[in-house]
Amino acid sequence: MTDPNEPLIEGLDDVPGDALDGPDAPDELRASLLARTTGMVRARRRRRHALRAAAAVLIFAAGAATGQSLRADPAPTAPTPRPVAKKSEDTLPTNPEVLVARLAEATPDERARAMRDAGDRYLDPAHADPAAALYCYQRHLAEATETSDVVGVDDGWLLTYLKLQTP
Amino acid sequence: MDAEDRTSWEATLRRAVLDGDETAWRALYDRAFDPLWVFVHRRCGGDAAWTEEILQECWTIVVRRLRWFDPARGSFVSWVRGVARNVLRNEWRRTRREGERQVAAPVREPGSGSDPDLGEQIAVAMASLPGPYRDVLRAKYQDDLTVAEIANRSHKTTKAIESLLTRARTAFRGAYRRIEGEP
Repeated sequence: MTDPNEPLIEGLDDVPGDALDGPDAPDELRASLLARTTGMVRARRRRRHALRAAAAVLIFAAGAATGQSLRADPAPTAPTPRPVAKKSEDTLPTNPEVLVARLAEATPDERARAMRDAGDRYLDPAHADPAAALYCYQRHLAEATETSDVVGVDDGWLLTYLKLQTP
Repeated sequence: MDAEDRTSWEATLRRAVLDGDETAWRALYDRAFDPLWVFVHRRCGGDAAWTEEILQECWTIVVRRLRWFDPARGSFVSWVRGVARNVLRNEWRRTRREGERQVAAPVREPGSGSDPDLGEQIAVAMASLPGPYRDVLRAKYQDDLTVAEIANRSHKTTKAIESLLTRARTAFRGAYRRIEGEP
């Protein structure tokens, strides 16, 4: 239990003058200064809200402008497909041997190239004639140079098979 | 409230006030008004008008510069007293330069030899205490009443007054030490 008569401040028996019994702050001053400073705090809040609102408007406007400019830009057009060059021979004969007859005057390389193209076209779903394609590919391999035996990336399944079978 | 709690609490209030919260401002204001009033009132030699003028400027600055208040470096009360010191110092320089308002109780120059004096430290510490603590300390140390007399006057038991006196002294010493330790 503490001594009720102990000094307020250690080593100080007498508290000086009016230190303890000073006048209290006037209530009017307290209230008026509170009102004034609270008004400043309120103004700060309004300013912050205004700034936030302005920022939101700016962001919205920037977004809208961006969207507008995107809409204004012409839509990227799909690349126009280049017309596929038609093969010199639009119609394939039912019998591929007719092709060989047509190529009688051509050089071996021309014939090899022509028979390769013909084999691809016979395999195409539009013709769907694997037997004719087989005949053409065989003729192609017979006419082609040695390097033609190497399987290429453009080779279809049938030509690849034939090349792999070639000793 | 210990130092850590005080720091955390005042940091929360500061953030809220900077966001424009009026209630938080009221809490800070109520905490510091009395100690600041006592501090300025004594420095102004008890001149009420001058005290009011200085306080108006102080509180305006405090609201405007609240962002600069760092609870980790000291209490809100000590910070506003620092603001008041600067205002008083400027006022003192101005009156000295202009030779005006040379009243009987001029603003005391901050930083002079008697600054801060014991009476001022005690008065400011007292002003920072809750009303019941102030009352019981005044009754005991100003009016020289015994515990029994205080109990009789306030219609409480002596045990209750002893307890109140103990708590009031502890609170006063804490406030006084903080003020004493400030520049």
